[in-house]
Amino acid sequence: MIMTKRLTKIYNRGEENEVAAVKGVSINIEDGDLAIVTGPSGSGKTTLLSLLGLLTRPTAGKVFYDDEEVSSYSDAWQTKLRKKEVGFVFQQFNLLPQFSAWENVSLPLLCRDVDKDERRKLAIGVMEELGLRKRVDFKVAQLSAGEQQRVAIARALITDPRIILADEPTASVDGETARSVLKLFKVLKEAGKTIIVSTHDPAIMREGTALAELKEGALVNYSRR
Amino acid sequence: MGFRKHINLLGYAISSIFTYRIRTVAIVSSLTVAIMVLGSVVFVSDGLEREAELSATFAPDITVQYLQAGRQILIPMSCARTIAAQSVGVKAVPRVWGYVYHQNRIYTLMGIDPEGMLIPEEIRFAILSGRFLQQNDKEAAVIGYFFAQKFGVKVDDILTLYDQSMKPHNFSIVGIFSTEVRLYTADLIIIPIQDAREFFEISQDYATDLCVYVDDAGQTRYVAQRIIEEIPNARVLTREILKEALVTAYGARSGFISIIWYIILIAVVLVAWNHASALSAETKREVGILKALGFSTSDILEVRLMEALVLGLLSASLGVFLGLIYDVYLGAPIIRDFMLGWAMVYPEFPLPVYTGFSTIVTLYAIAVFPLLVGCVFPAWNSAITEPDAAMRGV
Repeated sequence: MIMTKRLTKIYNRGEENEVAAVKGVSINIEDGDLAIVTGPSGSGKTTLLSLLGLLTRPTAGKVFYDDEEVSSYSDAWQTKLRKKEVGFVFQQFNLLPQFSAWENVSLPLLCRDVDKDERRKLAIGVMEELGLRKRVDFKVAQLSAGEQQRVAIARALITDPRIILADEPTASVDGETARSVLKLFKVLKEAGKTIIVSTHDPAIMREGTALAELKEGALVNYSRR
Repeated sequence: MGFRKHINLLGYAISSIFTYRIRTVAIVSSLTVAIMVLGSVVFVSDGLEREAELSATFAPDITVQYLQAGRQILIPMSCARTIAAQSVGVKAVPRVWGYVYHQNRIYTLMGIDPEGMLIPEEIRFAILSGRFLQQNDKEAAVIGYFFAQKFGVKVDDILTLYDQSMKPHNFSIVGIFSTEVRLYTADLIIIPIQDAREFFEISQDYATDLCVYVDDAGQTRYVAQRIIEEIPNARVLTREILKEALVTAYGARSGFISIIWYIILIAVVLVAWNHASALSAETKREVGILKALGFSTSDILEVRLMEALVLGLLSASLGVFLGLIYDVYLGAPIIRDFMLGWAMVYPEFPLPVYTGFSTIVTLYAIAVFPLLVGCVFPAWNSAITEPDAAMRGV
């Protein structure tokens, strides 16, 4: 279970360009939820996902994983937690262009005691499930946007995380890829994964088991189905 | 944590080196130049110092010369008897030497008494072919490697030298010194003392200088002091003083050129430092992505340090290699004249090059440490940045 209490994030605090990206958000996401974070552009969706994934520290408020307050953990503990529990799918994919598709997928395994052959084997396994078998050795630049998105998803799944955070996963892909992404999320949800997705995509929103709507950083609506 | 993780991180570090090519080329080229220029000087100065030390090994315990009006003149053999009378453990052996023109170059022709002189054991290591002079040798000569190379002579060949009245003297070459002492022996021709007396027309009552041997090494300073007291006109040089003089002579030259070289070194190391310590927005973003994917601060730091280590080792290896090429194959243009002098009438001295273990380690340290130090702070700074901030390039 992931829970936030009055979560607030202010960038450039005390400066002229101070921005309150998230303001006092309290939500409760159960294990196995497909939680949707929605709202207009600039409403704080990405920042909320970063806070939930421990990529940044809140200015105020708390994040709980299974009733354990994790937002005040040390950097080292948060890293361990991220490494073990969380997989990210970034809006801009954040793939490293110098590496091939499989190397990008296996990046999270580099800081683990897994040798190259094993990493490649695991990466190909995940990529096959996402229909990327023929793109294993392609460089990132040789892939279409949809393929890049699937590589980014494969990278998030390779460590078999309990929580998957996806920031606008269908914003940069075509309709067919968007449908396959949704299908994948449904499979993952059925497998017991907790998925938190920021999106405007009505198809994904329809499948959500929890919906958090943000406006100017504040939670304007939170509902569960 | 197992070693595979570290292998993975090393692989990542190496891939980063190839990814950021401009930065890599800037660092490696500047550091390579730095190590090359420094190495080329150090290899030669080490070689000179080593030759000086080897030369001192073959020197007698004390060398006694005779002065008049501050200039060296022939020393009467009565001085040898005076010195030997000090103690039964003190022996004074005459040496007759001077200069000879041969093929428009000046060489030192040295006459020694192989029986009377204490020839150190090391001499057999210093002989490349043939042998050293022996007691009954007559009209025999031992020459330097460079001399033999220059004139294409070998053991058993005849060497003809002309005295000051242009009378020819023939010497049979019995030995050639090794390359180990090639600088010291470059202008040296050793012959039996009687041949030298005839060549230079110096009577039995005189010698050019005296080689004094002291059985008890601990008494050398005392004996030297006694010689000064008993022969007021004597210039007394102990082996240590001779060695210091040789090392200082070459050291001063290498010190002079080293200053110029150090300025270049500092300049290029600064360039390398600048490139190593600057983190581009792309690098920062990459760090953010890696942290988001589970890389810890120490993982990031390890990657960056490995990167610096690989770049430093690569630069040092290239620099040492090019430094040796510059010294050995190109003959060290520019620094050669500074370190050996510009004399025209003397033989062309070979350039002694020595690559000692400590020198190599020092050169590698000079290449690696500035990079490691230069990258630690920015690497640490980026590694502790929140992944979110790093990905946004803050």
